[in-house]
Amino acid sequence: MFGFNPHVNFRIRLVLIGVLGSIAMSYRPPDFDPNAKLKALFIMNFTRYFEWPEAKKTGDFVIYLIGQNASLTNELKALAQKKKVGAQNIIVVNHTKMEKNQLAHMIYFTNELELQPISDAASKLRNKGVLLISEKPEACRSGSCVNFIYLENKLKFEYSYSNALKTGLKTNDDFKTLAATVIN
Amino acid sequence: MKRINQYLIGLLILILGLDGGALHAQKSALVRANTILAENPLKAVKILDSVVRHAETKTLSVSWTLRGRAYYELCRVQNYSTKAELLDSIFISVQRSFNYLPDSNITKDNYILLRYISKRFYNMASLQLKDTTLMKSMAADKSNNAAALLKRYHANALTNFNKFKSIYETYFPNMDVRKYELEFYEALGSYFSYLFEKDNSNAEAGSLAKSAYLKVLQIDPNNVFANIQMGLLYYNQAANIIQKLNEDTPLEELDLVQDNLVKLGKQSEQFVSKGYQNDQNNLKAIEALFYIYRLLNDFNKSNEFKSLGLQKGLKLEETQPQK
Repeated sequence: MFGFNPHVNFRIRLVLIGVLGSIAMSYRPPDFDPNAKLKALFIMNFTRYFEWPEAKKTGDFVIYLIGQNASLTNELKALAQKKKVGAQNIIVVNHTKMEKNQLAHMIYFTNELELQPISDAASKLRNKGVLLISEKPEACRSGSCVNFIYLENKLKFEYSYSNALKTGLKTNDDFKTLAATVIN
Repeated sequence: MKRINQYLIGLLILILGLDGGALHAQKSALVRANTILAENPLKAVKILDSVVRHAETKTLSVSWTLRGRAYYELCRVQNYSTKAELLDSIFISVQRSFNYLPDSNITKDNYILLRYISKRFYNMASLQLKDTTLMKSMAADKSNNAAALLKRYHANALTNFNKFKSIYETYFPNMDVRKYELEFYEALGSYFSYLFEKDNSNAEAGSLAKSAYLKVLQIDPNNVFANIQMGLLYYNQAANIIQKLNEDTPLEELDLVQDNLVKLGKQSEQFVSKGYQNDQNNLKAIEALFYIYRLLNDFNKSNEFKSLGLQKGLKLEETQPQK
């Protein structure tokens, strides 16, 4: 009706910014091993359910980790800085092999080790007050006191009450109820 | 310039052909506004706001389109913060112009304005998401207002985007709005994922990120990026739960916590697997599946993806303790 055309120079120069996806941030998993943290918490909790011989109630509380598991070692060390067993400070030591004259309170055997080192340790450390912890099928039958297993995607443990007694530890019956399996 | 003169001539002819008085004054105002649009858009806006209220000129499509044009000019000189309102004014003007049967030239100009405002809305929505300075300051904000700010920010981005979408769908039905929708929601999800990653207690950010990715998956169920990001949100939710556990967490509680972890791990696996099925060379999917299966204590599958990742040059050994 008017032949209306406001301006010949009325041009939209705007261009869609576009490719927003390119700013999509890389959302990464956290840089720590959740399994190691859980396992470390289990191990720290085990200290509540056993009583060590009088001779081992002074000095540091020593946890030996035999084999290679840097994540677990680091998690245990991190927890050890914040926790004590009674009045004892917790020390975490990692060795690739079992050493002689272990003065440990707990020894954890990583899963790449065979059963033999566990059964060797069980016979050498009888009545020495050392809780042997492992992560290997049949380890409780080779002398381990507590063996980590996986059931329905969850970390659980089997417990050998008799092996714990053999190492000279006083045990707590509540611990049996928390185990997935009790082996005697 | 030639076309402007044609337009002015057209207006003058119309004015001369009509009775004087108030109507004449309004038509003159239209002409005056048109001539000062570019030089003094604020004044043009004031004139045209008055013109479109007047009984004789409020039903002319030209009044409304010219008003839209005046707001367009104003948009170009005003500061950024007020632009959303100006764009709204342009849109309302164009809508009203269409109500009064515009001729082909006015229709054409209406479409130019619509294209402009739709793109401006889109760019405003995306510019917010590209503002990394603002993003970092939001991530660092631990005040009580942080959650409210986050919601407002999210709402603003969505409002701007939805205006863009609505204009596109209504006036440009042949244009494919889907790709912009995917792009926008991916960016929105990434934005809130980032905030959630920086502060894992910020559940609001995590929830907003999830809803954005779900929107992407609603449009494109096989979208690799959104599937992986959704999976990672669930995985990181699980990882955050573990991170919060401390040396005093009792053994009894660890079992209950693991129930939750398994649930989250399986939700995570569901999404990332789908992403991986659609892109088996996606390194992020391979990396995520290694972590997810490890969380689920499924070591066969975890090792399978670890080997695959190592073959493709990924570094998958994690030795960092919890902070």
